[in-house]
Amino acid sequence: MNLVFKALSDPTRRRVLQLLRQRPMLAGELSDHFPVSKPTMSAHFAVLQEAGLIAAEKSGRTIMYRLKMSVLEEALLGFAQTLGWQMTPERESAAGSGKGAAKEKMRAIKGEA
Amino acid sequence: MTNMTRSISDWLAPVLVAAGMVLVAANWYLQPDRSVVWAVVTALFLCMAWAVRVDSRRVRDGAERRPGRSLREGVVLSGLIMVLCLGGVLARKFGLSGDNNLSWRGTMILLGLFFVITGNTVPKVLPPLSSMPENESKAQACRRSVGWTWVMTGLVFTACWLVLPVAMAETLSMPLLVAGMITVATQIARLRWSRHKEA
Repeated sequence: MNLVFKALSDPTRRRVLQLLRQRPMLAGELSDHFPVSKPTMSAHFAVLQEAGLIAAEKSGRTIMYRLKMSVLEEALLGFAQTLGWQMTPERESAAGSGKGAAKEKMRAIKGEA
Repeated sequence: MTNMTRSISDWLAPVLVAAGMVLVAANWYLQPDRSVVWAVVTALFLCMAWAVRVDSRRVRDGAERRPGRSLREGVVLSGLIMVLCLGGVLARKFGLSGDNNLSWRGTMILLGLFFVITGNTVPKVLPPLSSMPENESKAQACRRSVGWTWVMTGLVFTACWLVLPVAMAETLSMPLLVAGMITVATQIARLRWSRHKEA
Protein backbone atom coordinates (compact mmCIF):
# COMPACT_ATOMS: atom_id res chain seq x y z
CA MET A 1 0.00 0.00 0.00
CA ASN A 2 3.00 2.23 0.76
CA LEU A 3 4.16 1.77 -2.82
CA VAL A 4 0.74 2.85 -4.11
CA PHE A 5 0.85 6.06 -2.07
CA LYS A 6 4.39 6.70 -3.25
CA ALA A 7 3.35 6.15 -6.87
CA LEU A 8 0.32 8.44 -6.54
CA SER A 9 2.28 11.21 -4.83
CA ASP A 10 3.89 12.41 -8.04
CA PRO A 11 1.90 14.62 -10.47
CA THR A 12 3.64 13.14 -13.55
CA ARG A 13 2.76 9.61 -12.54
CA ARG A 14 -0.83 10.67 -11.81
CA ARG A 15 -1.03 12.21 -15.29
CA VAL A 16 0.29 8.94 -16.77
CA LEU A 17 -2.50 7.06 -15.02
CA GLN A 18 -5.08 9.55 -16.28
CA LEU A 19 -3.84 9.10 -19.84
CA LEU A 20 -3.96 5.33 -19.50
CA ARG A 21 -7.57 5.59 -18.32
CA GLN A 22 -8.53 6.52 -21.89
CA ARG A 23 -6.76 3.59 -23.57
CA PRO A 24 -3.58 1.49 -23.44
CA MET A 25 -0.60 3.41 -24.85
CA LEU A 26 2.90 2.77 -26.10
CA ALA A 27 5.80 3.97 -23.94
CA GLY A 28 6.86 6.52 -26.56
CA GLU A 29 3.32 7.77 -27.00
CA LEU A 30 3.05 8.40 -23.27
CA SER A 31 6.46 10.06 -23.08
CA ASP A 32 5.44 12.54 -25.78
CA HIS A 33 2.94 14.07 -23.35
CA PHE A 34 5.67 15.13 -20.92
CA PRO A 35 8.59 17.56 -21.25
CA VAL A 36 11.00 15.15 -19.55
CA SER A 37 13.68 12.76 -20.79
CA LYS A 38 12.80 9.18 -21.72
CA PRO A 39 14.95 7.66 -18.92
CA THR A 40 13.05 9.78 -16.37
CA MET A 41 9.77 8.55 -17.84
CA SER A 42 11.08 4.97 -17.65
CA ALA A 43 11.79 5.54 -13.96
CA HIS A 44 8.21 6.74 -13.46
CA PHE A 45 6.89 3.69 -15.32
CA ALA A 46 9.04 1.45 -13.10
CA VAL A 47 7.54 2.98 -9.95
CA LEU A 48 3.98 2.58 -11.29
CA GLN A 49 4.69 -1.01 -12.29
CA GLU A 50 6.24 -1.80 -8.91
CA ALA A 51 3.07 -0.47 -7.23
CA GLY A 52 0.96 -2.70 -9.51
CA LEU A 53 -0.93 0.25 -11.00
CA ILE A 54 0.07 -0.40 -14.61
CA ALA A 55 0.98 -3.47 -16.61
CA ALA A 56 3.50 -3.58 -19.42
CA GLU A 57 3.32 -5.88 -22.42
CA LYS A 58 6.28 -6.09 -24.75
CA SER A 59 5.83 -6.85 -28.41
CA GLY A 60 8.97 -6.63 -30.50
CA ARG A 61 10.75 -3.39 -29.65
CA THR A 62 7.71 -1.58 -28.29
CA ILE A 63 6.21 -1.66 -24.81
CA MET A 64 2.47 -1.21 -24.40
CA TYR A 65 1.29 0.07 -21.01
CA ARG A 66 -2.14 -0.68 -19.59
CA LEU A 67 -4.03 0.50 -16.53
CA LYS A 68 -4.15 -2.08 -13.74
CA MET A 69 -5.88 -0.19 -10.94
CA SER A 70 -8.44 -1.57 -8.53
CA VAL A 71 -11.51 0.53 -7.71
CA LEU A 72 -9.98 1.56 -4.38
CA GLU A 73 -6.74 2.63 -6.07
CA GLU A 74 -8.71 4.63 -8.60
CA ALA A 75 -10.59 6.34 -5.80
CA LEU A 76 -7.24 7.12 -4.15
CA LEU A 77 -6.02 8.59 -7.42
CA GLY A 78 -9.09 10.83 -7.46
CA PHE A 79 -8.35 11.99 -3.89
CA ALA A 80 -4.66 12.52 -4.69
CA GLN A 81 -5.62 14.57 -7.74
CA THR A 82 -8.14 16.67 -5.83
CA LEU A 83 -5.92 17.29 -2.82
CA GLY A 84 -2.71 17.59 -4.84
CA TRP A 85 -0.71 15.09 -2.78
CA GLN A 86 3.02 15.46 -3.06
CA MET A 87 5.69 13.63 -1.04
CA THR A 88 8.91 15.25 0.08
CA PRO A 89 12.02 13.45 -1.29
CA GLU A 90 12.84 12.08 2.21
CA ARG A 91 9.37 10.59 2.62
CA GLU A 92 9.48 9.22 -0.90
CA SER A 93 12.74 7.39 -0.21
CA ALA A 94 11.31 6.13 3.10
CA ALA A 95 8.25 4.78 1.31
CA GLY A 96 10.49 2.88 -1.08
CA SER A 97 12.84 1.43 1.55
CA GLY A 98 12.82 -2.34 1.74
CA LYS A 99 11.62 -2.57 -1.84
CA GLY A 100 15.06 -2.18 -3.29
CA ALA A 101 14.40 -3.60 -6.74
CA ALA A 102 12.49 -0.65 -8.21
CA LYS A 103 14.81 1.83 -6.54
CA GLU A 104 17.87 0.13 -7.94
CA LYS A 105 16.22 0.03 -11.36
CA MET A 106 15.48 3.76 -11.14
CA ARG A 107 19.06 4.53 -10.10
CA ALA A 108 20.41 2.44 -12.95
CA ILE A 109 18.17 4.22 -15.45
CA LYS A 110 19.10 7.64 -14.04
CA GLY A 111 22.77 6.65 -14.14
CA GLU A 112 22.46 5.78 -17.82
CA ALA A 113 20.98 9.22 -18.46
CA MET B 1 -3.96 -4.72 -1.29
CA THR B 2 -4.23 -8.19 -2.77
CA ASN B 3 -1.03 -9.24 -0.99
CA MET B 4 -2.48 -8.09 2.32
CA THR B 5 -5.71 -10.07 1.69
CA ARG B 6 -3.58 -13.07 0.76
CA SER B 7 -1.47 -12.99 3.90
CA ILE B 8 -4.58 -12.65 6.10
CA SER B 9 -6.32 -15.50 4.30
CA ASP B 10 -3.21 -17.69 4.72
CA TRP B 11 -3.74 -18.05 8.45
CA LEU B 12 -7.46 -17.21 8.66
CA ALA B 13 -8.65 -20.06 6.43
CA PRO B 14 -7.42 -22.96 8.63
CA VAL B 15 -8.50 -21.09 11.78
CA LEU B 16 -12.04 -20.67 10.43
CA VAL B 17 -12.25 -24.30 9.33
CA ALA B 18 -11.13 -25.46 12.78
CA ALA B 19 -13.54 -23.07 14.54
CA GLY B 20 -16.36 -24.25 12.27
CA MET B 21 -15.66 -27.89 13.10
CA VAL B 22 -15.78 -27.12 16.84
CA LEU B 23 -19.07 -25.22 16.42
CA VAL B 24 -20.63 -28.06 14.39
CA ALA B 25 -19.59 -30.57 17.05
CA ALA B 26 -21.12 -28.39 19.78
CA ASN B 27 -24.34 -27.94 17.80
CA TRP B 28 -24.52 -31.66 17.04
CA TYR B 29 -24.10 -32.48 20.74
CA LEU B 30 -26.81 -30.03 21.77
CA GLN B 31 -29.28 -30.82 18.97
CA PRO B 32 -28.81 -34.50 18.03
CA ASP B 33 -32.28 -34.58 16.40
CA ARG B 34 -30.87 -32.55 13.45
CA SER B 35 -27.93 -34.87 12.87
CA VAL B 36 -28.44 -34.95 9.08
CA VAL B 37 -27.90 -31.18 8.89
CA TRP B 38 -24.79 -31.34 11.06
CA ALA B 39 -23.40 -34.25 9.04
CA VAL B 40 -23.78 -32.23 5.82
CA VAL B 41 -22.13 -29.17 7.42
CA THR B 42 -19.29 -31.36 8.71
CA ALA B 43 -18.80 -32.74 5.18
CA LEU B 44 -18.63 -29.17 3.86
CA PHE B 45 -15.98 -28.24 6.41
CA LEU B 46 -13.99 -31.35 5.50
CA CYS B 47 -14.10 -30.25 1.84
CA MET B 48 -12.88 -26.80 2.87
CA ALA B 49 -10.05 -28.32 4.92
CA TRP B 50 -9.07 -30.39 1.89
CA ALA B 51 -9.13 -27.27 -0.32
CA VAL B 52 -6.84 -25.40 2.12
CA ARG B 53 -4.46 -28.37 2.11
CA VAL B 54 -4.40 -28.52 -1.71
CA ASP B 55 -3.78 -24.75 -1.89
CA SER B 56 -0.92 -24.97 0.65
CA ARG B 57 0.69 -27.74 -1.38
CA ARG B 58 0.41 -25.72 -4.62
CA VAL B 59 2.04 -22.70 -2.98
CA ARG B 60 4.78 -24.89 -1.49
CA ASP B 61 5.46 -26.33 -4.95
CA GLY B 62 5.90 -22.78 -6.28
CA ALA B 63 2.70 -22.59 -8.35
CA GLU B 64 1.48 -19.03 -8.82
CA ARG B 65 -1.99 -18.13 -7.57
CA ARG B 66 -4.23 -16.23 -9.94
CA PRO B 67 -4.97 -12.76 -8.50
CA GLY B 68 -8.29 -12.49 -6.70
CA ARG B 69 -9.16 -16.13 -7.37
CA SER B 70 -7.36 -17.90 -4.65
CA LEU B 71 -9.06 -20.98 -3.31
CA ARG B 72 -8.13 -19.85 0.18
CA GLU B 73 -9.98 -16.55 -0.15
CA GLY B 74 -13.14 -18.49 -1.07
CA VAL B 75 -12.66 -20.71 1.97
CA VAL B 76 -12.29 -17.62 4.19
CA LEU B 77 -15.54 -16.09 2.95
CA SER B 78 -17.62 -19.28 3.14
CA GLY B 79 -15.97 -20.13 6.48
CA LEU B 80 -16.87 -16.73 7.92
CA ILE B 81 -20.49 -17.06 6.83
CA MET B 82 -20.82 -20.60 8.19
CA VAL B 83 -19.07 -19.83 11.49
CA LEU B 84 -21.33 -16.80 11.94
CA CYS B 85 -24.47 -18.89 11.31
CA LEU B 86 -23.35 -21.76 13.55
CA GLY B 87 -22.34 -19.32 16.26
CA GLY B 88 -25.76 -17.66 16.01
CA VAL B 89 -27.55 -21.01 16.40
CA LEU B 90 -25.41 -21.88 19.41
CA ALA B 91 -25.92 -18.45 20.98
CA ARG B 92 -29.71 -18.80 20.63
CA LYS B 93 -29.56 -22.28 22.15
CA PHE B 94 -27.78 -20.86 25.22
CA GLY B 95 -30.10 -17.86 25.30
CA LEU B 96 -27.19 -15.45 24.72
CA SER B 97 -28.84 -13.77 21.78
CA GLY B 98 -32.46 -12.72 21.80
CA ASP B 99 -32.32 -11.40 18.26
CA ASN B 100 -33.19 -14.18 15.85
CA ASN B 101 -31.99 -12.11 12.91
CA LEU B 102 -28.48 -11.44 14.18
CA SER B 103 -26.75 -14.21 12.23
CA TRP B 104 -28.90 -13.45 9.15
CA ARG B 105 -27.87 -9.81 9.31
CA GLY B 106 -24.21 -10.75 9.81
CA THR B 107 -24.31 -13.12 6.84
CA MET B 108 -25.78 -10.45 4.57
CA ILE B 109 -23.17 -7.88 5.70
CA LEU B 110 -20.43 -10.39 4.87
CA LEU B 111 -22.05 -11.02 1.50
CA GLY B 112 -22.08 -7.27 0.81
CA LEU B 113 -18.40 -7.02 1.72
CA PHE B 114 -17.70 -9.94 -0.61
CA PHE B 115 -19.31 -7.95 -3.46
CA VAL B 116 -17.12 -4.96 -2.58
CA ILE B 117 -13.92 -7.04 -2.54
CA THR B 118 -14.82 -8.86 -5.77
CA GLY B 119 -15.75 -5.64 -7.57
CA ASN B 120 -12.58 -3.96 -6.36
CA THR B 121 -10.34 -6.54 -8.05
CA VAL B 122 -12.28 -6.75 -11.35
CA PRO B 123 -10.29 -3.96 -13.15
CA LYS B 124 -7.01 -5.57 -12.03
CA VAL B 125 -7.60 -8.86 -13.84
CA LEU B 126 -6.15 -8.28 -17.31
CA PRO B 127 -6.42 -10.72 -20.19
CA PRO B 128 -3.40 -10.92 -22.55
CA LEU B 129 -3.34 -7.92 -24.85
CA SER B 130 -2.54 -10.09 -27.86
CA SER B 131 -6.03 -11.65 -27.77
CA MET B 132 -7.96 -8.50 -28.79
CA PRO B 133 -5.67 -5.45 -29.01
CA GLU B 134 -8.06 -3.25 -31.03
CA ASN B 135 -10.81 -3.63 -28.43
CA GLU B 136 -8.67 -3.15 -25.37
CA SER B 137 -9.80 0.42 -24.66
CA LYS B 138 -13.46 -0.66 -24.71
CA ALA B 139 -12.66 -3.74 -22.63
CA GLN B 140 -10.77 -1.59 -20.13
CA ALA B 141 -13.68 0.85 -19.87
CA CYS B 142 -16.03 -2.10 -19.35
CA ARG B 143 -13.82 -3.65 -16.62
CA ARG B 144 -13.66 -0.31 -14.82
CA SER B 145 -17.38 0.36 -14.94
CA VAL B 146 -18.22 -3.23 -13.91
CA GLY B 147 -15.81 -2.87 -10.98
CA TRP B 148 -17.30 0.44 -9.86
CA THR B 149 -20.88 -0.80 -10.26
CA TRP B 150 -20.18 -3.92 -8.21
CA VAL B 151 -18.32 -2.03 -5.48
CA MET B 152 -21.09 0.58 -5.15
CA THR B 153 -23.76 -2.16 -5.12
CA GLY B 154 -21.83 -3.98 -2.39
CA LEU B 155 -21.37 -0.83 -0.32
CA VAL B 156 -25.05 0.15 -0.44
CA PHE B 157 -26.06 -3.48 0.19
CA THR B 158 -23.80 -3.61 3.27
CA ALA B 159 -25.04 -0.23 4.49
CA CYS B 160 -28.68 -1.40 4.17
CA TRP B 161 -27.99 -4.44 6.35
CA LEU B 162 -25.93 -2.43 8.83
CA VAL B 163 -28.40 0.34 9.59
CA LEU B 164 -31.91 -0.61 8.49
CA PRO B 165 -34.40 -2.91 10.26
CA VAL B 166 -34.23 -6.45 8.81
CA ALA B 167 -37.60 -6.28 7.02
CA MET B 168 -36.71 -3.00 5.34
CA ALA B 169 -33.18 -4.18 4.50
CA GLU B 170 -34.66 -7.27 2.83
CA THR B 171 -37.08 -5.15 0.81
CA LEU B 172 -34.41 -2.70 -0.33
CA SER B 173 -31.29 -4.83 -0.72
CA MET B 174 -32.68 -7.52 -3.00
CA PRO B 175 -33.93 -5.16 -5.76
CA LEU B 176 -30.64 -3.27 -5.39
CA LEU B 177 -28.67 -6.47 -5.96
CA VAL B 178 -30.79 -7.39 -8.98
CA ALA B 179 -30.34 -3.87 -10.40
CA GLY B 180 -26.56 -4.17 -9.91
CA MET B 181 -26.51 -7.55 -11.66
CA ILE B 182 -28.59 -6.25 -14.58
CA THR B 183 -26.29 -3.22 -14.97
CA VAL B 184 -23.18 -5.43 -14.98
CA ALA B 185 -24.77 -7.89 -17.43
CA THR B 186 -25.76 -5.01 -19.73
CA GLN B 187 -22.22 -3.60 -19.71
CA ILE B 188 -20.73 -7.00 -20.58
CA ALA B 189 -23.37 -7.65 -23.25
CA ARG B 190 -22.66 -4.24 -24.85
CA LEU B 191 -18.93 -5.02 -25.00
CA ARG B 192 -19.58 -8.43 -26.54
CA TRP B 193 -22.01 -6.93 -29.03
CA SER B 194 -19.48 -4.30 -30.14
CA ARG B 195 -16.81 -7.02 -30.54
CA HIS B 196 -19.24 -9.13 -32.54
CA LYS B 197 -20.08 -6.16 -34.79
CA GLU B 198 -16.41 -5.37 -35.42
CA ALA B 199 -15.47 -9.01 -36.12
